[in-house]
Amino acid sequence: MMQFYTEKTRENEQPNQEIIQYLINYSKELRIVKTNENHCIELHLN
Amino acid sequence: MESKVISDSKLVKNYINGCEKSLEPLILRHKQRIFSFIRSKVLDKEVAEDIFQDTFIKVINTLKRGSYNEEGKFLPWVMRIAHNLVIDYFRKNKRIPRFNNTDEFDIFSVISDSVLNIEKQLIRAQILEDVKGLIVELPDDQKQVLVMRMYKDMSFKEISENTGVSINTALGRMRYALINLRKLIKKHEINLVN
Repeated sequence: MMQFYTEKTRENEQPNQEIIQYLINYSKELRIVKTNENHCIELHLN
Repeated sequence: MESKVISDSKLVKNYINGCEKSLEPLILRHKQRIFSFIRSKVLDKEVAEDIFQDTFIKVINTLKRGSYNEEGKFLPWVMRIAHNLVIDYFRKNKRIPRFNNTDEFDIFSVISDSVLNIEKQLIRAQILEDVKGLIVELPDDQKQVLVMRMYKDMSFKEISENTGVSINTALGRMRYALINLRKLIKKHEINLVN
């Protein structure tokens, strides 16, 4: 039978745990250094 | 014993001051709401995950640069970033034509040129010529109305004034002119398709 409606809720859907971990690691590895001219340099420390 | 929940504002402040541990509770606290919002827009889990990730990368970069404006609240700010990234996603997808590469797919349905090519121009000219030839065969009163309406772009009011008949009569003549044209097309077995 044809479905006339979409799923009501997607409350149980969550982003993959790996993404959360990636973001935490990304944050830890990121250093932003401000130069004298008020520019920013992004340093990704792997 | 009452457990004390640290506010978003405090966590953000701590994170900006170098406390890496403050990021995780911020993400965990709001991940479902932000992800559900993105998912409801893009309707694809993998795309939603990409946008969710990009959203927090922007959040992290902005906070670390010290560009975060404390005026607004954290969640609405993140939702705005997510919303903008969803818009970017749709804009990008619109620019790139997507198609299923099957045997039935006709590439010219995507890249067709709106300008008529030489062949189509010739066919069009031929059709116009054929129609003119058919109009000549119409009764004079019908021919007169049809020419005024179709070639001189006159309104039925103007046609009525110029021919001295009522608007209803002009409309009736136009109707019969079209009926008779169809009959003539059928009679002469003319194909008027470009």
